[in-house]
Amino acid sequence: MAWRDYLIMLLHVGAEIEHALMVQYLYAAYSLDDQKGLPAQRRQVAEWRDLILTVAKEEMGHLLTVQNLLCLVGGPVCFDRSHFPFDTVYLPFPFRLEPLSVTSVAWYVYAEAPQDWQVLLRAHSAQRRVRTTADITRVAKIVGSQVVTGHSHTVGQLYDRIIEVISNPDWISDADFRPETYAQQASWDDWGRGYAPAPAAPGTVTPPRQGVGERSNVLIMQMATRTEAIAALKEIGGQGESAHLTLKQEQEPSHFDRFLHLLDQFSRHGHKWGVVHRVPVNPSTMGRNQRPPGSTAISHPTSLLWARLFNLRYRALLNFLGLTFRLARRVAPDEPNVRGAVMHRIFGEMYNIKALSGILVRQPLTKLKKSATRAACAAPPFEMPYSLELPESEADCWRLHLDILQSSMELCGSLLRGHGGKQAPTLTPRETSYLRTLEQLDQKSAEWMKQIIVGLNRPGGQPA
Amino acid sequence: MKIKALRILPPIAIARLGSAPEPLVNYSIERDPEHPLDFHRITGAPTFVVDPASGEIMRAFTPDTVAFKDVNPADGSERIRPVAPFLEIWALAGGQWVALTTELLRENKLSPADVHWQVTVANRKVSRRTADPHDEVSAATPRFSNHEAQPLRGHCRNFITPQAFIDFGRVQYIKPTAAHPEIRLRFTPGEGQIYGPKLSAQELKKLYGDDVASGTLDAVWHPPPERAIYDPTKGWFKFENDHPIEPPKHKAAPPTGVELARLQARETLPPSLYSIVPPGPCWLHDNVAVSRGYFDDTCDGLVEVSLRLPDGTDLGAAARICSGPPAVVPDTVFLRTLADDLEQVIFGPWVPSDETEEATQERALDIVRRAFDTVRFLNVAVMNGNPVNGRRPLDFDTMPAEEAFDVMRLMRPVVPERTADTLMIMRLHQQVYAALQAGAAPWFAHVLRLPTQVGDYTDHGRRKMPAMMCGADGGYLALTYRQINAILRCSGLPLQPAGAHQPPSPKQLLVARNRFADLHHVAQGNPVSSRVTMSVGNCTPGLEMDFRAVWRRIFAGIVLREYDNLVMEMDPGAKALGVPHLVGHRLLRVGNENMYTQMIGPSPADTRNRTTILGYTGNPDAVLPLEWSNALARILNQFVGKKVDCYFTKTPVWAQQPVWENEACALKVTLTVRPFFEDGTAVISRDLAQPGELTQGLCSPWQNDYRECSCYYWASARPDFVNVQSNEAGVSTGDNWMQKERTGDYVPDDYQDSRLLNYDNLFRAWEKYLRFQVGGVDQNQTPCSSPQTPSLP
Repeated sequence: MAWRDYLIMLLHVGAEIEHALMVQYLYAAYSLDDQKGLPAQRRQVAEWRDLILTVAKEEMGHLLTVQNLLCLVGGPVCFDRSHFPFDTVYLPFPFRLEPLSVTSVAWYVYAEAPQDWQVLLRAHSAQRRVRTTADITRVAKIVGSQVVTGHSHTVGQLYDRIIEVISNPDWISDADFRPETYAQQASWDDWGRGYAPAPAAPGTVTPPRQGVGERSNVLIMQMATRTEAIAALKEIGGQGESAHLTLKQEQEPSHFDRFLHLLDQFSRHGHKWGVVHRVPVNPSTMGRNQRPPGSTAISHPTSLLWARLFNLRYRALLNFLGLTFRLARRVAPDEPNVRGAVMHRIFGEMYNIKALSGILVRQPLTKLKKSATRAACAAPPFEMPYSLELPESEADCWRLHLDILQSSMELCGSLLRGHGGKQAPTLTPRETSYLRTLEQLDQKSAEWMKQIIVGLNRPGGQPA
Repeated sequence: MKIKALRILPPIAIARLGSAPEPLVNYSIERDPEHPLDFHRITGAPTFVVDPASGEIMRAFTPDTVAFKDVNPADGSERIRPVAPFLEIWALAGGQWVALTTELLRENKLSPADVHWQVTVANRKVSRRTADPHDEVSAATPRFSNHEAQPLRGHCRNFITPQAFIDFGRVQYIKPTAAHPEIRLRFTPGEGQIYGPKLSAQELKKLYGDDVASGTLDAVWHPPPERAIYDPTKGWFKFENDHPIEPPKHKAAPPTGVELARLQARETLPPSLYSIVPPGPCWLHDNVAVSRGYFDDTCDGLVEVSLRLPDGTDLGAAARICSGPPAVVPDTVFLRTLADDLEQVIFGPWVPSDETEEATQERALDIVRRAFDTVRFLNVAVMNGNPVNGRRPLDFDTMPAEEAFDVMRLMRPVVPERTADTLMIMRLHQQVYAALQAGAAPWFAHVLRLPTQVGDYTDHGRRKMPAMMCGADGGYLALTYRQINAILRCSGLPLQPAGAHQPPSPKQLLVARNRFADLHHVAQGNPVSSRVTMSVGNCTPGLEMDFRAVWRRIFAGIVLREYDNLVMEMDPGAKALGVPHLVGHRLLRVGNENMYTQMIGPSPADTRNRTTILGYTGNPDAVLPLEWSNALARILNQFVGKKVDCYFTKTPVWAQQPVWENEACALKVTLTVRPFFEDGTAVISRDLAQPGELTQGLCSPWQNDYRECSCYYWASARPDFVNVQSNEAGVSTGDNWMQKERTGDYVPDDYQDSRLLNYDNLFRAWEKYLRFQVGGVDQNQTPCSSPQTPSLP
């Protein structure tokens, strides 16, 4: 394998890992129920959820930065996951959508830990007599045995390897870099949406302290040179996975620090409070024969409709992400354009994912009657579509989106009005309002897309 | 049931100008639950037809069409239907508030003739600028109890004769009938006419050249003889802000130093808000702003009612009225309205302790709804500071351009140009709305602009919401604290302003709830456009009312300038209160809160992470005084009727704004915070504003402002982008509302572009040119549906 090809492969693995981590964190965050318990408990739970969501948002920044790296070295962008032969080699733990628990948080700590910390953990887990810190001891108690028997590659090591490859001019030559892609890359201005520390007050150099809702620091770095690429890798490595890579002493705690804090808090109180929805492990909308092993069926008919709707919006998001990079090549960057519109729509789909996750965890998982204990509930399945490949022509990309919207509108219709002679499910007023709004948004989006297709189909309208 | 007390409801009624003889029918607006993203539906509501001669309601009907304009059969010209609100009397009887009717009067051995009214209105726009009380135009009816229409003739000492007047409209005590026994009064505003100086043809020619007599639609306009009533030897004609009025200008030596600064202190914000001798606008022509001497026929004032009971007890009540331009976007509620500011006064800046989470969520949802309704009418690309057809953005009047001029820095777009598009941003807001409807907690609190951050011109600050619009302080618009706190509460975040505060007692909460109900009282026959929910809020300066003016007398003893912290006058009773003479001093701080912020921007050393104070010679500390409504929200809520420590500059500071350094550098004066409302009611206290003072900061004539103030001041009230649709490139196209011919090709706001309405078009025929927007498109009348859901308050 040529070095450039190898680098692109590593970056694809990195993209998948960022994507996988992000989805797992989102799932864990949405499994928390901040509507239960005493007001103080609810506040605490909301804070935990925000902490995890903050990390997930930052993973999104990492994912985009990796795409920028791919652009820079002339590789295809990648928003896929779980389709690699190497998919578990660099994953710190097997991909698993599961409710927040002491164990899952311990895994997150491990995944985001600095390399030397992981080495110590593995050493301690293999041989308990090896003395180490309280944090390591605690995590080792929960995940130690699996860490010892599993592979030892981590996210930090992956980035170390990428840095090693990209830094070597004998392996990756200057000619391999495509600085002209700079303007086509994702930028913080486009994607950051205010998720960054406020600038320092006049006369000072330290950013002001931020409130809970402002703590995200989404790093999305554009790059035109090898030096910038290395700096970007170190930055994203430093933010989460591998604190020893940090370029400068930042005020913000790393993902590792944050998860360690969460582990401490949650293991002390949270797991006893009953504030985690009874969401399944790896929920699935697939039938019995297609369902992957280890997944849990969402079988309640109404919940299934919601879950399918969720999958459609997730698919729309991923397709739109790919499309922005393609559109970047043809639109003028300094005037309103269709790429800008797609970027806004990606955020719209993120809001849908948030809204639908909130609805799903309040739906039953199965048709089984409630037992004396709390019934299991549905959850966002985050199932990948059959393909994320975009069609060759731009018009066909829009047709693909139209198909997704059409399916979404049909699902909204089934939920609102019933389908195939079946009665409409009973919905709460909020659910009804949401579906009607979504339906109307989709109708307007479809009109918009059809108009774009008309323009593309005119002579000279279809970009090369 | 014995009558114990009276109220006039609503406590504030907004009339809207128009010369059509028939007032606008009654309508309301409601959301369509089946199509939640559509514009509000306009629904017909019971309308009263009043016989002008008898004062009786001849019939009531529910319209199936709302026509905002009619056509004058005499000359085919378009006329706008005025909004003529009713004011109802309610009585406390039998322990509850009920409509005062003939029957209730009878029960109390009284008749409708025992109800006495008096109405006092004024237009002080000119005297606000000239500081000459003889330029005040005021009208007062006698105390009356008959049912004849009472004209509101505004007289002025500086008019050519004592008989000359501005027609502010009329009020009429509606004669109760068996079918309509309630006691009510109707206020019909003026026609929207402009008045001016009496000049000979020769003088006109000298002033305006031959153009004035050409008779073309674009030529300079001058009031016809019957409305040329101002004495041109008085100060308003050829007024210039930095010229003294007395002694006569031609003899005066040019003022300098403090004298000049004192003169300039009369300036409004925005400056030169009046019609000027061409060329305009003044800021493109060396800031020369010579007044044409125009007045409009808007006014504000008080309606007072009195009733003597048989036992000799005198009962009375009052309400405020004002008249302003038509609500040209009748189906849209602006992001921040007068109601929002008044509700903040009623409930305080925080969330009332008795408000349920569901109610707060509804308020948060409503804010987002209003946000996307407002965005619809902004050409976001232009307002963002994008180049237009290759022309440089600094040539267009936008908030980023305003910011660049204010701080003498290069202009920068607010967000990346490629993402700034009306329909794109609107859809994004609608998607937020959808997610909130599903029950998602707001996640965007971090991008809401706090009222103390309006001078943050870093990208971090400028991209906060609401974006690209101007607030009452001239900085970027912030919502009221109460609005912000609705979102913060739903987000589980600490409320603002932070810090301990005394929660209201159950009695205070009850009073607040009653005030809220009064404020939103829906008087029979009144279209929604007469209510405070449809009035632009604390923006610069406003359209129907300049809410900034309410705060001038909030501290007993002093009178502040409406838009900043300069003490303009002392109250006559100041000495008795022991308040020292403070004219010219600046109020820097109240309690421990600064009344200003400093404008900051990106540091050239590191544009993303470091900042610098954007000072320049004229404003070295880059001081930006904060709008009173938010700056004093906490003080008013916690200290009403009590004393509070106020810190002033030690000496008069007429020009350059200083900053707070420490207590030793300031003059501490303890002042009493006046009650905002009259006792127990939602009527803005008479101690705070006299008739005419709530509109005195507005433009004279208001038509001038439609030409000068771009939409980032008022958005939905003075739309910018209309007939908007997406083109085949996926971006928004449409017309500028001020465009004479609709082409679908937006003409950017350029004062010299003949494709756009000019000042004189508006002076001559504003009723023709101002087009109503229904559903986002030009529509001067619309069919209306029957109400299906409860209407908006």
